[in-house]
Parts: sequence; structure tokens; C-alpha cells
Amino acid sequence: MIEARLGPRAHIVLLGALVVVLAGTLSALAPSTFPTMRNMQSMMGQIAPLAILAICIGITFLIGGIDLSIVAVANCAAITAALVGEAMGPDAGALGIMAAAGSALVIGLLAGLTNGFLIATLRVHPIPITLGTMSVFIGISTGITNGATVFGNGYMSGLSTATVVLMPMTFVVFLVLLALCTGITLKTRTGFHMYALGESDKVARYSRLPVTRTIVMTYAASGVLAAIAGLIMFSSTNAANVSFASSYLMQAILIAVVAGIDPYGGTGRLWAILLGAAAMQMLQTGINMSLGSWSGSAFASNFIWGVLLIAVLGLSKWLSTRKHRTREAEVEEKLEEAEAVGSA
Amino acid sequence: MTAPTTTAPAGRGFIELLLARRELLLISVIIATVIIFSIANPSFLSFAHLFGLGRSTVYVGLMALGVMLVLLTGGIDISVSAIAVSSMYLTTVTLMAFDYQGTFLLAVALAVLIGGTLGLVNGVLVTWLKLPSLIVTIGTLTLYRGALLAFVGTDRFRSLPAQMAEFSGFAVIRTSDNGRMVALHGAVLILIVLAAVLALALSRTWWGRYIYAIGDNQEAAERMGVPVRSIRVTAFVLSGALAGLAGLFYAAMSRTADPASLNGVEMTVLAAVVLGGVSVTGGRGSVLGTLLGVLLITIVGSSLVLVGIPTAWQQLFIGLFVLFGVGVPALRERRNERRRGMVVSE
Amino acid sequence: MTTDRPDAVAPDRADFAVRVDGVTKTFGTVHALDDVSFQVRRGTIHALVGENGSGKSTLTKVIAGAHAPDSGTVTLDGELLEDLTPRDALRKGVRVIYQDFALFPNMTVADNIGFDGGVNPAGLVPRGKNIARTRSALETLGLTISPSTVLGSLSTAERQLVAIARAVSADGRIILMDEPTAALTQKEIDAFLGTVRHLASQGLSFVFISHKLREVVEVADDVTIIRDGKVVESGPAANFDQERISNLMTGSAVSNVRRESAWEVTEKPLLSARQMRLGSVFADVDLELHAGRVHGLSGLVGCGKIEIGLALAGLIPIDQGRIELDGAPLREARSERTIQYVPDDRLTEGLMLNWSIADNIAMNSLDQTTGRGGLQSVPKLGELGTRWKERLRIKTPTVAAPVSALSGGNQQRVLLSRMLAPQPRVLILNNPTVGVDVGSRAEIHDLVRSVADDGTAVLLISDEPAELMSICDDIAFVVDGRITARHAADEIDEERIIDINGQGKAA
Repeated sequence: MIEARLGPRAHIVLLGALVVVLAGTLSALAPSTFPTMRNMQSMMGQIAPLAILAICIGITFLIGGIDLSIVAVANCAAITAALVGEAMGPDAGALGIMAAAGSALVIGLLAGLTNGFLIATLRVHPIPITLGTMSVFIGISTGITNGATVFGNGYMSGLSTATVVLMPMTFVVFLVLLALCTGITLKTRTGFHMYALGESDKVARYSRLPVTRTIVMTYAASGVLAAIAGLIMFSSTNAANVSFASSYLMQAILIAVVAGIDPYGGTGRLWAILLGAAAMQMLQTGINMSLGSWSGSAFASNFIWGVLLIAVLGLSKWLSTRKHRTREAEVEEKLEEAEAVGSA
Repeated sequence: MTAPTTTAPAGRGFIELLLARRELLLISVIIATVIIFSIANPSFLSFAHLFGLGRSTVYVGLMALGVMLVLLTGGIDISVSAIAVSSMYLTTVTLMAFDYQGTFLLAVALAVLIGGTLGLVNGVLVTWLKLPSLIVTIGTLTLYRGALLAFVGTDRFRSLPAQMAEFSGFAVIRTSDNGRMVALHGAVLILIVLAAVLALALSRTWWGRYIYAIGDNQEAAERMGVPVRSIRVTAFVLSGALAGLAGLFYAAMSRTADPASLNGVEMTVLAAVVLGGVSVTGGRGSVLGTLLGVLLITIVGSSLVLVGIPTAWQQLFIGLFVLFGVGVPALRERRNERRRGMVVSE
Repeated sequence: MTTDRPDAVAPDRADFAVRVDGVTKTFGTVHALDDVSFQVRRGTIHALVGENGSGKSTLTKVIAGAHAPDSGTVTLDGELLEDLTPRDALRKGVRVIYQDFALFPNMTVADNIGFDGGVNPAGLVPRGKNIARTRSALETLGLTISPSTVLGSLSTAERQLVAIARAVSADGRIILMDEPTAALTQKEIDAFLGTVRHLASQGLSFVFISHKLREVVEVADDVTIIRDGKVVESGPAANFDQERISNLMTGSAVSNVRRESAWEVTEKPLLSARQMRLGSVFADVDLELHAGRVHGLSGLVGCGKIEIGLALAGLIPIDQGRIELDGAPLREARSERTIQYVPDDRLTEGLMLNWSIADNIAMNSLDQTTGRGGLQSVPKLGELGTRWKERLRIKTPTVAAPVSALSGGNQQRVLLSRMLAPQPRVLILNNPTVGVDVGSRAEIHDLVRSVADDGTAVLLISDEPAELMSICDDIAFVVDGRITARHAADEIDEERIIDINGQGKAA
């Protein structure tokens, strides 16, 4: 009934198989270091902020857009948290944490609303808009910090060290956010509108769906999620800088594409971001394990991400056209059968 | 004075004209910026500064011309900075491996060839596999750069092959500025000549018509018999080739070949092109507009410090320029659509 | 056989400009063309007539190389062309006036008219020659547009004339024209038909697609009638009159039977527009829609009739005037669920082609697919879809099937289901039977009538006089954005509708 919105199931099966094969291979190759609780926890902690950024890309992809400003927003939020925390002083305690985190989230929300408002009212493609706001957010962050790294006084570190049911708190935050977004997209009217807008904004407008509201809400959510990712990054390093995590934008797009979310909009399952993120992190760990001693390993993994992005995209395109043809052919067959029966 | 044809007041008409002709708008903004900057700091108008400005437009300008071509066909190319740095570094490494001492033209040919090849890869992926160009070029951006740093090397060369190093002193106009000899770099002239050739090709040849036609209405172009895919590929190839040339010039003019350089320049390039009035959905834009966009971004980027604004805020201004560059004409377009009773969709 | 027209003998001679043999073309499950054979004699005008969706446009696209046929051959100028591409067709002198014009909105008129997609890209554009050619082509058609105007700023009628100018000014020998007069006034049509006759006498061959039978009878040398993808009759124009063509097109004389209203005009209109104005699109529009009645809106393509419908649905804003629902001013017409609008272009404006039938139907009534906890439920989605599938007799094994697998008529039923599911009190229909087969067309007309009989006020915007006559109670005529005439449907006939619309500004 809603397969067209979810996308080809084969994609998910393949992705699941990839995760299992990667986990198996890595466990077999490094039985003493890979399948350990410590390694699992460390992997979850590492991937959490990136995976949350992938949700930003995921939801904006769903409505047929893209948010290129997420890393800039994340850094801007982290810097805000650091500066507010500093202003509150080291003894502010819980109030300090609330103020720092709260202001970071507000910054994220404002940034997202700006994106959404500009895209919805100007009706320009989101690439130049979010590119422009990205520059603005980077510019503001650079201007305030003068490009220097700002440090917190450690009050946020609890977020990155705490564990819930043996999982790092940050990863649990990601899981909760992912579940929430998946639920909204699949189970609410707003979610239906998001898919519709992504499938064809023209049809959505002619059907008089609340297009503007959906666009603004989606980008606002993307901004808030990016701010949360920024807070998590800040909590783990206790430092914020405008140039941190510059490779995360590409990697977040990669996770979303690997998870089977159509960059042209209208198709995808958000929860598959969990699988995409898992595959990504295991590949990263695998690369680190096998190439760790080589100085070029970080660059080699970038190379691999690039190849992977294009390969997965090509494969997914091929799968979806094939799937669509099969579905049409099935209907045709059944119709012919029905007609044969009717005329007999 | 000519007889007024509309009832709109004269001032309104002038603003309308400015908004309708992006080049005029940009020229006005550039003139205004130059006036403000030179009042704030008279050294803005010194030959030293102006020549320096010209020099720093070169590599962004070359890449911008290529990106403009791709945008005109309705695609986008994010990978230019990676292509530039890859072509430049591979060329340098090759020349140094053979201890090459001959003409600079060979280096140029090599860089253009490498750039063109990397552009061809983009073009084939986008047009033959029908993948979205934004994602493909974000992928190749990372891929090219990663491959370069991982497999070719991370060493920064400060002593370039003699011919390349000599290019940094290639001057066309020499004059004295406060008793100091300053010169306009010849690459500025090369940029202008290439831009002129490209502008001619776009306006006079069928290839240029096809580039615009594809971005304007791809289906109509197909039905009219335009070889859409090959034309789109030429745009990507030229974008790569121009980026290769830009990278080589960048290295030669700064006398350094650094495989980690030019990081993030693609955003400045894209900002300049969009500011120059090239539509991201294709079919609209001009060489002149693109160059003016590059000039404005370069002026703002390199001159803020002259008027006492720390360079740290530079990025903010670039961002605001892009938003205004995109937003103001979009608002105007929305108003026209409204007047004509169109149900708006992208 | 008339003497002033070319000889119709010797069908085997290579004297056919176009020869189509046994062409079949299917889209999904739809047989757009079914074993079609068709010949155009050199230097003649061959009219291709049929209802919307009968396969005329597909046939022109096959001849132009834009669609590859599943089987059958195309012979152009005596040369059998395998795997015909648009470039091959262009090389053989085929020029097409497409229904959607296929023009470039950001280019000037001269650049559009001079556009040639089949030359070596390295060649220079003959700009001077193009401007001269544009001038003479525009002059021939009696047009006063400057060649340097940007196409995007022209009206629909002007664009259509530019598309015509492009086709006739190029050195084409075979010109295919798909509804070339849809946006033109009678004066413009006369000038255009005169040009076509003149060019035919110089040896050019024309395929002329139109459903304005008057034009067909007036100008064509030969007529071919096509229905549901099959050729039903072909021969010299002298063998046909309007009534005969019309009967052959529909397959019967009964499909356009008048469906009378049972409801009288109520005192208070359900939806009314007072003095609506929008820029240069429409002005001084007064319109009243009454419960149980179908109100028609007629006019040339681009006259503003569609925009009036869009404005009533809140899809476009108005500068002046007001819209009232039940006598109370309606501020946010766009979010008013009791009004529903059915667009004419179901492929790009109406349907999510890849989505399931159920998804498409539920789009405007998600409150009916809400299950436990206020969450959307897939089973309920299926139920809603199935309910409407049965009610509108959508031919499909399952509502989980993608809409793209359906035939035109069934796709239109899906679109109507979506708009009927929220139980609207006002229904605005824009050409609801474009591209549907004759049977579906009659059923859709019955459906619209029955929806009205249930007390819904219907606005029917249509390009087809027959359709207006078939289901409307009242008809208003729009010329250049103003309502110039109103008639009760039983006072007039199809001929009169064409006359009123063709009068143009003079009316």
C-alpha cells in the first residue's frame, strides 16, 4: 500500500546483510578487540552525532530538499553552548547546563526556521539558500570566536560519559530522535505531507496540502537536530570551533543515501539510518584497524566514502527502476487475467 | 528624454531595470562598494591593492566559469576545488619526477587534461547513470581529494619546477606605486581572454544555444534533436578543465604546490556564480554576470580588513550576498508569477 | 473527387511524404496505438481527428521519432527508417508543433524560431538570418511581436503562434501540427489556415490534428479518424461532413447526450465571486455556483478561465474582489476543505504516478485514515481506497498498485476519488475528461452529474463544447479574462459555443 513511499525492500535487505557481513568479518579478523563491549560502546559514541546529522539530511531529502547548513548550525550551537556556559560561570550547576543547552537549541531552531522560511517564501531551490545560510552561520561563528577554539568548563561532559542500558547516552539520544522522526513521517498527517511534497511539490500544491508549513517545520526540525548533534560533539571534546567536523556533511549525506532515502525526495525509511550509520561506523573501524599505522588512512577512508556514495546511489537507482517495472508488470498481468475470466 | 511608456514613476523604472539586468545591478553594487571602501581607506584605490585584487580573482574566476556552464545546463558541480587541487598536484609531481625544465605550456596542457578527465567522470556519472549531480559531485569531491592525499602524497612543495615558478612573475602592466614597483599578473589577462572566448562560444555557436536550451527546457531540447547527453558532458568536462587550469595557476602564482590547499573554495565559487545571476535551475546566466559576481566576492573578501572589519566576518558577508543575490530576483519572480496567475512550483 | 486537389490514386508510389505501417505502441497497460497504418500524400493537408486520448498525439510523436513504436514501421519521404530518432526525423524535414509548444521560455522569439537541434554544435548560429527569417515568418502569420522579446513574457496565444512560426519557417517538408489552434481566435485561425494552404500548394505536407471539426472540413485534403488507438476510417475529405466525423470519433451518436439538472437555482448561491480581479489575467468576474447545478466556463486556451477556477479554489491569490461561501466571506479558500479542485493535467499536477492508488485517493482526507491514538493507519488507508475503487469502478486488482499502471480513464477516476472523498460541497473541474477513452468519458460525465444531483455545486471548465453541452446547466464565456456572455445551456449548441469563443476581443 505504501511501498512506493518506503522504497525497495531489497535495498534494506542488502543493507542489513552488509551490516551483518561487516560485523562478522571484523569479529573474525579481530576477535579480541572488535566484538567487545568496550569497542561497541566506543563505536556507538563515535557515530551518534554524525548519525543525528544524517537524520537532518534524511528528513530534508524526504521533502525533496537538502540542508547544507547542518554542520555550520551544529558548530554554531556548540559555540553558543560554550560561550553561555562560560558566562554562567563554573558553579552554575544544573542551571548552567540548562541555559547552555537551551540556548544552543534555540539557536538551532532559529537557524532552521530561517532556512525553512526562506525556502518556502522565496521558492528557490534549497541548495543556494542553505549554502548562503551556511556561509552566514559560519561567518557569525567565526566573527564571534575570531576563528579560535572555545572551551567549556566541562559541565556538559556528563552527556558523553553517561550510559543507559549499557549504551552511551548520546547514542540513546540518537535512537530516541530517530524513532520519533520515523514515527512522525510514517504515522502522522504531517509525515504524509512530507512524503507528498517530496514526491511532487506540484501535485502537493494542486492538492492544496499545507506545503509552506511542511517545509518550515522540516527545516526547523533539521536545525534543532543539528544543534543537538553540536551539543553532543561539544560534550565529548569540551571544545567548539567553527571548523570542526567539516567532513560530516558529506558523511551525513552518505549515510542517508546508503539508508535508501531518495535525494530527489518522496521515498525512504528513516529508521534505516540506523543501519546506514552502523555500516558506516564499522567500515570506519575496519579501515582504522587495517590501515591504522598508515599515515594516509584518513584520506583513504574519504576516498572509500566517495566511491561508496556513488556506487550505492547507482545501485539504488537501478533497484528502484527495476522494482517499479516489476510492479507495473504484475498489475498488467492480473488485469489481463481478470479480463480473460470476465470475457469467458 | 524619451516618452514614458509606463505609468510607473521614473525611480521605480530604474530599480526594475536594475533588478531585471543582473549585470547592471552588480556593477552598481560594485561601484558603491568601491566608493565606500575607498572613502573609508584611500589605499583601496592604490595600484598595489587593485592589482592584488585582480590577481586573486583568477583562480576563483576560472572555476566559476566552469561551474556556470554546468549550472546553465541545469546541473551543479561541487567538485571543482578537488579537481583543481588534484590536477595541480599531479602535474607538479609528474613534472618533478621527470625533472622537467621545458615550457610552462606542457604543464598547462597536463593540468587541463587531468582536470578534463576528472570532469568527464562527473559528466558520465551524471548523464549516463542519471544520478543527481549534487550528490555525485559531493561524492567525487571527497573521492578525488581522498585519493590524492592517500595515494599521491601529502608533501607540500615549495620549490616548484623552474617554469612554473617563473609564471608567478608573469606581469603585463608594470607601474610604480609609492615608489614600489607593482605589476598586474598576466593570468588576469588570460582569465579575461578565456571568458571572452567562452562568452562568444555561448552566444554565437550552436553548442552555446544547446547549453542554454537544455537548462531551459530539457524535454523540448530532446524533441528538437539536441544531443542532450553529450552536450551536458561537455559542460562537465570544460568545468573540470577550467578547474585544472585554475589549480595550476593557483600553485604557480603562490609558488607552492600543497595538496591540502583550496579546501572549501567550491563554496566561494558557487557563491560567486549564484551572485552573478546564474540560475540554479538552469537556462539563465551570463559570463559577464559570473565575472562580476567573482569580482564582488573578491573585493568584499579581501578588502573588509581595509575598512576595519576583521576578516573573521568575511564569510558572513559572502553568505548575505548569496542570499540577497538569490532572494531579491526570486521575490521579483514570485511577484510576476502572482500577477500572471501561476500556481507556483519549482 | 475534387479536381483542385492532388490525385488520390496509386497508393504504392513513393509519393507519400509520410507512411506509417502497422504501428503499435503501449504505455504500461494502455494500447495508445494498435496496428495503425496511415499515409500522407505529398503536398496535402491530412487531418487526424479523434477524441482526447485516442492516440493522435502519440502517433505524431512516433512520426517525429520522439516515441519508438513497439512494432511497425515509419517511412518518411520514401525512406524506411529503422529506430527513428528525433534527429533522423529532423533530417528528413519533419517539423512538429507540439501541444505543449516545446519552446524555450528564457530565449528570445528569434532564438526560438531559429532554433535547430540537429546541426553540428561547433557551427555558428546564423543570427542575422534567423532574425530575418523570424520577421518574415511573423509577418506571414500577421503577427506584430518583436523578434527580440523574451518568449516567457508572451501570452499563450502568442506562444502558440511562435511555435507555428518555428515549424513553418524552418526548411521543413513535413509538418505535424498537434492542436495548433487551441489558443487562437477566429481571425488568427483564418490567417494561419491560409498560410497552411499556401505552403501545401508549394509542396509541403501537413498532418493536422484538431478536434475543431469545422476547421478540419474547411482545410483538409484527407481525413483519418482514430479511436482508442485504432484507425476507424480514412479517405478524401469530400467523403466526410462534420456529423459523420463526429459519429466516427465517438463510435456512437449518444455519448454526448444532455444530462438535465433536477435542481432549480436556489436563492442563495453556495459559492459566489464578486468583482474578482487578478493583474492582467482576469477582471470583473462575477460568478455564482448553486447547489445541485453544473456551471460551465468556456473560452480559448489562455483566456483566463482556468485561473478563475484556481482563484476560487484559493490556489492563486486575487488582487480585488471577494469570494463568499454560504454568503460569508471566504478568506482562506486554499484550506477550505468543502471546496475541491481537480486539475486537468493529471500526470504532472494531479497524481503521484509512482504511488499506490490508495495513497493517491487518501491524500485530501487523511482524517478518514486515522486509526488508534490519532496515528495514520495503513489498513484504513486500504479500506478508504477500496471503498472508492468500488464506488467509481476503478479497474484494478488491488489499490496497492501504482497509479501509473492504470489507463487514462482509471487514473482520472483515482483523481476524482481523491477530490470526492472529503465530501466537498463545491467541486471545480478543469477538463475532467482529457485523455480518457469514450466509455470512461461518458461514465465520468454521469458521475459529475450525480455528484451535482446530491447537492454539490460544480464548476466545469472545459475546452470541449461537446462536454459543456453534455453536463452543464449554465455556461459563462471568458474572453481575455472577462466574462462576456452567459447562457443557459439549453439555449445554445456546440456551434454557437465555438462562434462565441472565436470572436475574440471584438465580442
